[in-house]
Amino acid sequence: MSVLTDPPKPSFRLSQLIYDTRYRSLTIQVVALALIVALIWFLVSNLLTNLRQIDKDPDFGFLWMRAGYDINQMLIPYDSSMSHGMAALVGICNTLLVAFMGCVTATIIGVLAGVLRLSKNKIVAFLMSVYVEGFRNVPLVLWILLVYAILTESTPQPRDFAGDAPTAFMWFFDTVAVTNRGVFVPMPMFGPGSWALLAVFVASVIGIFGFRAYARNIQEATGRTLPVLWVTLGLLIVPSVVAYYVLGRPVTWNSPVLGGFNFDGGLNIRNSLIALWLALSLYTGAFIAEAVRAGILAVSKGQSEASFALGLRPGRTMSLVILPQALRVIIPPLISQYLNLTKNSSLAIAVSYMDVRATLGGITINQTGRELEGILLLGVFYLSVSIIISVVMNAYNRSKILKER
Amino acid sequence: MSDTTASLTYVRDTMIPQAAPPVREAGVVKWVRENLFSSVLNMILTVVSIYVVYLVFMRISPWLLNSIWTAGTLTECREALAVYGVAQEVGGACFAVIKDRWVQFIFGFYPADLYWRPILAFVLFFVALAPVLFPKVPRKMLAFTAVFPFLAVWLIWGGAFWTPLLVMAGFAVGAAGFVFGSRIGGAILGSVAAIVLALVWWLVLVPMVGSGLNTMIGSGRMAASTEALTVRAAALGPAVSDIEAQIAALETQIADAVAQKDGIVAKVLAERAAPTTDAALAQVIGEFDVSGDALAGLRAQTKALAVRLALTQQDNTEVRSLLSSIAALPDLEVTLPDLQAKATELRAALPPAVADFATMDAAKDATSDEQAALRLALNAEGEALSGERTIRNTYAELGRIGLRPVDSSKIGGFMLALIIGVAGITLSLPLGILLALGRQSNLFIINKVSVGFIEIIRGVPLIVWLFTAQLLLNYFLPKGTNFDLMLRVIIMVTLFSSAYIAEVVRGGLAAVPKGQLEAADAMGLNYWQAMQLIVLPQALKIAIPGIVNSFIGLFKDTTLVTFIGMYDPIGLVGTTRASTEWNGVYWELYIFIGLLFFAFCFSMGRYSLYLERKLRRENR
Repeated sequence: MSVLTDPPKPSFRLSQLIYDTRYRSLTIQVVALALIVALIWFLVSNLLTNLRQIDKDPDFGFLWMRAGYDINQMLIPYDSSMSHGMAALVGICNTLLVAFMGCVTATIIGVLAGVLRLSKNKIVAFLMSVYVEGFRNVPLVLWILLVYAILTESTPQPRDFAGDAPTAFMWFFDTVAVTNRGVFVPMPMFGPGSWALLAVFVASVIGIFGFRAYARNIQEATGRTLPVLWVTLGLLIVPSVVAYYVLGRPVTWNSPVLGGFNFDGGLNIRNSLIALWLALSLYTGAFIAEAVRAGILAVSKGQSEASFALGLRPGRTMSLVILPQALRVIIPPLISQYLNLTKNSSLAIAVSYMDVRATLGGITINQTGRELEGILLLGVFYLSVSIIISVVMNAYNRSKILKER
Repeated sequence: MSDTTASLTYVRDTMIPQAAPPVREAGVVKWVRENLFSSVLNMILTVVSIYVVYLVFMRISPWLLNSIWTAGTLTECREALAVYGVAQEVGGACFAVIKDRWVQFIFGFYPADLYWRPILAFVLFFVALAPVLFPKVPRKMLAFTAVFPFLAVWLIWGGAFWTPLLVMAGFAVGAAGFVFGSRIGGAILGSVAAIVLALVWWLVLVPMVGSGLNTMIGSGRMAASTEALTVRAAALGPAVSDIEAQIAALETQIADAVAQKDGIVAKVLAERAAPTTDAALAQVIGEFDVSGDALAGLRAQTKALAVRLALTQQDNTEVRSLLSSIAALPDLEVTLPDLQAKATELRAALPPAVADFATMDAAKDATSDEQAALRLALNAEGEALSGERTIRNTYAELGRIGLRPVDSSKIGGFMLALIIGVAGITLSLPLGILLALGRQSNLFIINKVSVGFIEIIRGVPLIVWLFTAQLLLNYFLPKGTNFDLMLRVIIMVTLFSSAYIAEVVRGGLAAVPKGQLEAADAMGLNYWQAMQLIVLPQALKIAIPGIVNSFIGLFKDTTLVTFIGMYDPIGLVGTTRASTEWNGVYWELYIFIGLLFFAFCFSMGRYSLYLERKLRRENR
């Protein structure tokens, strides 16, 4: 007869918290959490005590107070009687404007330079290397300052356009003036009927996409190619132009006119914006060029050889075979370059462009003395923009990666 | 049978000499045809790029060729250009400004007689770097690498020699705490004990021991020092006026030389307006050159004297103020406890509405009685604090055995950029590795904290972090902590770059095959052993090029400190342009700074490429 006994039940001992790998990770996390909470408590309690001592308890009420300062470049209506919050919004729009323009231009410049750097044409390839290395190895602040200096020092003054023997002339049939006080371009004035014109334009753009899809279907089904380029151009231009005249020219242009010592009318794009935009685009473009080059080099040579064997010309090989494959390698670094450009737009401080750092994080802080709140909001803004860009671009990246099994 | 062999002589026994290839298929022509003119598009590209290069060259080369290297002011530069007959619209570079100011662009406002200290630190930096970069260097050199950071800080900022030793001892204290703690409660308690003990050592004991040593040595040397200082003070006053007199004499000479040169300039311009002979023009231009050189020589002498004057004057004020503090010291030591007691008493007696306030601004809404009480309390507190500070500083000055201290605000130029860059990257390496391990970790809390830290730091621009360092960092620390801007900037830059380093290291960790960690586990190594011995050596090797690239990025980003009022090279452009001599000059300075940055970053980038290739070869 055998006696069955339960194996001895291990009782939990305190030392297991340290020596037993099953529980140790828990201990480590609790200790780490305790240390982190202690650190945060230390910092926050110091902060509150210190702020109490100078009577600056955290308070976001300043956002609704009168700002009282002017902003010289704005996308949304604003004047000095509006609130600090509104000024911050103007700054946010300015930041987003320069970041968006910069991303677009930087991509164009970067792709061109990256492709040309691999060109068989040695002169072009060398020039592109000089561009890429030159911009990558010199601080961005210096480039912004240099471009700004070029814009303000080597462009004519408004008074050079005046008089009987002007030394400077406007461009594009007297509509655009490049001066050391910025570029003056015609401003569109929307009269009645503009909405109809806009609707026609939007409809023709939708039509273009429809036609392209239709042409692709035809080509895939029958092999017959339709004249996509000409139809696209025609759809883009003809309906809008016809509608423009049929509706009795609803949109007019307010061109800049020389008056007194400066240009009146038109839209004044300040040199600070142009310098920041150009410098950001060129600087980031150099980094994008490197990413593009690496992406193209990552596509194996057999691909282009196979494409030549099929009889595709170099241009089509690049656009149909190599770039789509290279895109998978290019997109991740491209995302981080877009993020960098957006963050680098805060260097607007070098040329006093009124971005969100200058309004919310600059003048507002100086006027209200609310450093903590201002910088906190500024940080939250940049953080959310970064997160939005990376979420959107990562989704795009996922749509482009190779679908494997 | 007839013999037929005689007629079969068409079999060739010597080769025809090779003909030269057709011109179009060889040499330069072939290369040009294939590379520059292979298609219409290529032709257009070639022509356009040659035209662009031509345009840029034609615009810039005259400006460079006409450059002026000897001049004292921008006006003189333009004068010289006119003398040499350079057309106004072509212009010429005025590199004289660089010749005049380059030392400042390297060292900022660092005391001129102490330049050897940063230079020595810079040289030793490479000695310390050698064992890290080159495996052939003896491993024992790593000990020097470990000591170097403390040595460099001491060399650059100066101070008593025991401060770096005491700070270094903190690591020994931490290690002892770790060993002791792990014996009682395992690695976790050990780590906590190490952190706590080291912090207590650095924050409490080091200042106490330091000031104790100062007081001991200082009170011992007081009588002798006072005597020596009195003698020096007596000598310094006349020395200052002597140098001033020499400078005044030189100034009159310079004024004469300038007048003479102006006369020659007028002559040259007259000659240019109504030319007589080429020889006459050449002669007056020669006279101009001679007078310019003489003037430059005089100015160099004056500059050297001015540097000496500034140093002597500073010495003079310092010695005198030290003497007066020594004289006041016995009284102050007696009255200080009373002052402190009075301050505490007044603070305790404050009405509740203003009891917490530390500035008068904070109490602007209080009643006048409350304000008066607060003012009294603040004054008493200020007096007590300044008394305390005077005693401490006097003893520090008297009892210091070591190097003369240099204030952070004096550090500028490329030296500043290098210090911030090197300190930031060195300090951020360990932190970045820890963050990367945390991000890879399975432990939920540690993982989330690391991810949050990295993403928040990376999502916000450096300039916002620098403003945080300038405006907010002191709010987060206990009241009265006030360390200088440069240290705050270094802390912020370290946190900033550690997030970037963490991402680079994470890439390296991801590239190490999973089998390595599993094999380490199978060998029975614990987490830290596996990381230290198996994973990190491989991961860091892969990450080195990325780390070098982060360093390049950080070095370029150091230029941002100019926006919080530090004198990095770009900040010094402002100072230079604000001076009367060089008001209006900018291209030359931007080019100079840009070239220096380019040389540094480009060579670092090439080095990182070389490393990348070498690693790829080794891993094949």
